[in-house]
Amino acid sequence: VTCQDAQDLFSALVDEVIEPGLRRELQTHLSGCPGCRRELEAFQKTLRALGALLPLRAPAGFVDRVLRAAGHEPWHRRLLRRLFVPVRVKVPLEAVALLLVAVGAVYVAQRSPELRRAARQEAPSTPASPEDKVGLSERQKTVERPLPPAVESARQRAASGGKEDDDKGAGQLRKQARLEGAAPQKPPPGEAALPGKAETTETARSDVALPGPAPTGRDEERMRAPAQGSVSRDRREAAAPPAVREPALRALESAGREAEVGSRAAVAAKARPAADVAGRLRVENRPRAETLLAELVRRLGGEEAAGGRRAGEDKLEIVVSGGRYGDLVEGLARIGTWTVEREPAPVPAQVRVSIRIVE
Amino acid sequence: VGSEHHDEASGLVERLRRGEPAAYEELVIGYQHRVFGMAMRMLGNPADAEEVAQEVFVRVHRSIADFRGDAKLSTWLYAIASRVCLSRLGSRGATRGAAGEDALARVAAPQANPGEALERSELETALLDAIAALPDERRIVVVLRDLEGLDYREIAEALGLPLNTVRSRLHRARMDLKDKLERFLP
Repeated sequence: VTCQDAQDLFSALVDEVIEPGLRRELQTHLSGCPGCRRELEAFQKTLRALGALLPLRAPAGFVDRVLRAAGHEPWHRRLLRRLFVPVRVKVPLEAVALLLVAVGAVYVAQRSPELRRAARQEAPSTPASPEDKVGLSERQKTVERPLPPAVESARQRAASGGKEDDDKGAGQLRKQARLEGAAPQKPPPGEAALPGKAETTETARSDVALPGPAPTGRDEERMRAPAQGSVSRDRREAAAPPAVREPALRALESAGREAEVGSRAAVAAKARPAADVAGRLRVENRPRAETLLAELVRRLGGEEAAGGRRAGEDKLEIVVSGGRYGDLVEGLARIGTWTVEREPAPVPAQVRVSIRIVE
Repeated sequence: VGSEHHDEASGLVERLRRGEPAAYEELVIGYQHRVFGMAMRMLGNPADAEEVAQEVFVRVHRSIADFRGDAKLSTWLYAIASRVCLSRLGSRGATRGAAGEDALARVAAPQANPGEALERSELETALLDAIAALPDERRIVVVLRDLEGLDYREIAEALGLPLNTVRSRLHRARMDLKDKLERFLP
């Protein structure tokens, strides 16, 4: 046995898998070879050092991770893990996804008038949609859609010019609109802040004589200062809570917006309610005639109609009871030459008279 | 390997074949440190070692029905672990060497006195470096024999090698280690 042969048997010797004959030959060689004995000693120390290495331990949670990977995990833990783990990645991603969905929903709602209308009718507590961002053409589309029956009937009554109907119909209209489940709606932001637009809207409201829950006092004030009245009313309504606003009123606002297309003067002329009686009063002195006319109206218990007179116009409208209409005609004849251009027969209970004063 | 009797006594293999979740969990708990330790010695990187160990147990779960019981359960486990480790080493050349886990194990080792601790630390470091420097096919034999305690026949079964090949590879690996450690040995 050479030294190389002897060293090749070291593993077999240490592991005790060496044949007995080879073992004897190896021991004979080792007894006479100090170099191989040193080699064997180093070999054994190496194996002892290997055996002295501490066993490594799997990291904490390893078993759980293995069970998860193998599918041995309760369904609720799997669900939670799939939803949120890793938290640093999935939670921000989910937040971004939610934000995108919300933004997308708002965008779609803004671009879809049908959805917006449905939201108004079905979700009263929904925050007002930013209608001010929608273009005028979009609003006009809204106007073109069929109105609720109550609003439609009110418009028809207004078109027929019935003041009495309007006064009664205002309350009924509101009740009817509520019964139909129409939800209150905030005014479109920014609308009341525009004076011109506010005036037009006001005109459209008076078109169907919807003076509000307690109309008389306010309307009297407005008759005294029409321009100021229209603006202040818009301010009041803009500041009012959403619940005060009626869907019918909204529809009428839309009708008012329709009128924005034309010139304001044309709109004013067009939007004014048709008077029951219209005529021309030729006078010598206009200021005096107006004074006399005002006194006449007061004596007859009438009043100047809401929105009946506009700055710079020579026409005013008054409202008197049907029973005092004859007295009005006589009084007008005393002030000047009264020429009737339109007169219904019989006159209604409340007569709206349009008087154009000509010198 | 020492837990083989326990496996047989508790009927673990039969329960695993029946697909009992508790049996699989028992298997993972019982073998987690050995499989992880082997992967760690082979790959030298805790993250890779955990990944490989996890893959080993997942493969065990998938193929437990194929386990015929001719070999010991531990041998079958080591066979799977060896294939996964060698496959990983062959595919990407895993980072090897004395890694943090080994350093942690060395630090945690109880020492009689500071001098002995320093001496042992140097020896261990040299030993781990020497193991890491072995060729993969030799290193795995040393790991299975001298660290995990498998006998020659089990190693041959696990690696699918002839017994003589196992013997020669093991002996060469040990001699390599001796040559590298000689100057650190007392």
